[in-house]
Amino acid sequence: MDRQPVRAQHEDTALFEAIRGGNHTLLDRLYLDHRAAFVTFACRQLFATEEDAADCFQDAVIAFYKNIVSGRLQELTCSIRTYLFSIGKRLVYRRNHQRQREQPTDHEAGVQPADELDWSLIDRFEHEHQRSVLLAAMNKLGEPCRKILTLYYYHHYPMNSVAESVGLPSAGATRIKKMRCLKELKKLVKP
Amino acid sequence: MNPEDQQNRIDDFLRGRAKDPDQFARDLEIDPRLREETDATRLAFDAIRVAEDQQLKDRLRRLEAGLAAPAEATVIPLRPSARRNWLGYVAAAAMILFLLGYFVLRPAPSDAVEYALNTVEPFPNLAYVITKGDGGPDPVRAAAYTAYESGDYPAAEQQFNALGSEDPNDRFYLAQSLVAQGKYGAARTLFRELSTAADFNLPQEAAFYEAVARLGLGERGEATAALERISAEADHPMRAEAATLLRELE
Repeated sequence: MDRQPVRAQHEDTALFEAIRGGNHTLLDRLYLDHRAAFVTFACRQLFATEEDAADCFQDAVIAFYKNIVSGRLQELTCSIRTYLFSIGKRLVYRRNHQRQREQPTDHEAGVQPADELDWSLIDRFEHEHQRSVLLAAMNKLGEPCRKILTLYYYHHYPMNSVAESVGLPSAGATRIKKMRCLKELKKLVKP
Repeated sequence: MNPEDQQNRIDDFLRGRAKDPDQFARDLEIDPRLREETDATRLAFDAIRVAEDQQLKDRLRRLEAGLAAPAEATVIPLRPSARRNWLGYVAAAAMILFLLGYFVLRPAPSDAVEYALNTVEPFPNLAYVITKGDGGPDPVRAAAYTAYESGDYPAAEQQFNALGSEDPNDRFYLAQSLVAQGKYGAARTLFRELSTAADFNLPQEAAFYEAVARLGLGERGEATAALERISAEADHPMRAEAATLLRELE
């Protein structure tokens, strides 16, 4: 694949830096800049509904963001639009596939009772249940803990930056607080 | 291995930063306690990830909803009304009166110690994680720290006393509650004990607050000497606070 021009690479570097710094308004801009084109593409070429297309594009933007924050994506070898479309396309394919599996079984066609069980749905319900347990645990945690753990473990901020963001007096104090917050969260998520 | 070192080792393994992941994997097989802690940490990491993803998703959903239903435009007059101009003049006059009053009525400079003490912030709660909903397994401790975090120091003092704990963390925050209420004598005694306690994580912080308590008790010379020592220590966690306090005292 052809590499991007130098100017575009500079722009990407600036974007990556801003995203790593927690600038969420850039996510909004990315979404708004490319959303209409993706929805048109997904509806026409991939036969997605507009709602599914928009939902998948939201997930594509989030995946892009997470890849940058985690350091998995250091440099783009294509344009941002191409990258987002490539993730979004895969998500729409998967969504279309799920939609087909969720079609109601035609009982009149003499299908066996065991075939009525759609395991993918059951798996998803279990997955959703686990997800809601984890979300509830985080919601139960107070705001300082939530913020400290998110900045440290999700955004990979160094401890002194976490201290500055949450207004704690030192990196040492923040490290102690982080240990206690993690201990509490572990108690809350234990099955 | 102490609990913090063990947790750091688990963190490194789960975040792909372990120096010897194979050794860790072998340890996991033979150590059920390590396995249990690793599983709980993995779930905690999942919770952090899921919650942040959800926040981002909610943000983009709101953006999408805004695209579907644009807000109604509000007509803003190009020229401000005469009534708004009048209100502006009243606000400006009130501000001038307030500033005049402040400079005329402000306390004499001899109250420098009191000013300085007012700049000292109570230490943030690092000891107890307050969870929403129930009072947890330890309702008195939860009530004490909740009162402390909300700035209700008399209630915090009362709850810490009801708790009657010998835990240095609880005693540190009891002393903080006392300082915040100007009860410097009792606070100084507690901070002095804590500044030399062996099983306590924040002895340097306790030493700083002992100096604050001494300042409150009128022992300005001793307090200043202690603050100077703290501000001269390059690695002291309260170095900046001590320097600020000294500047306020000048």
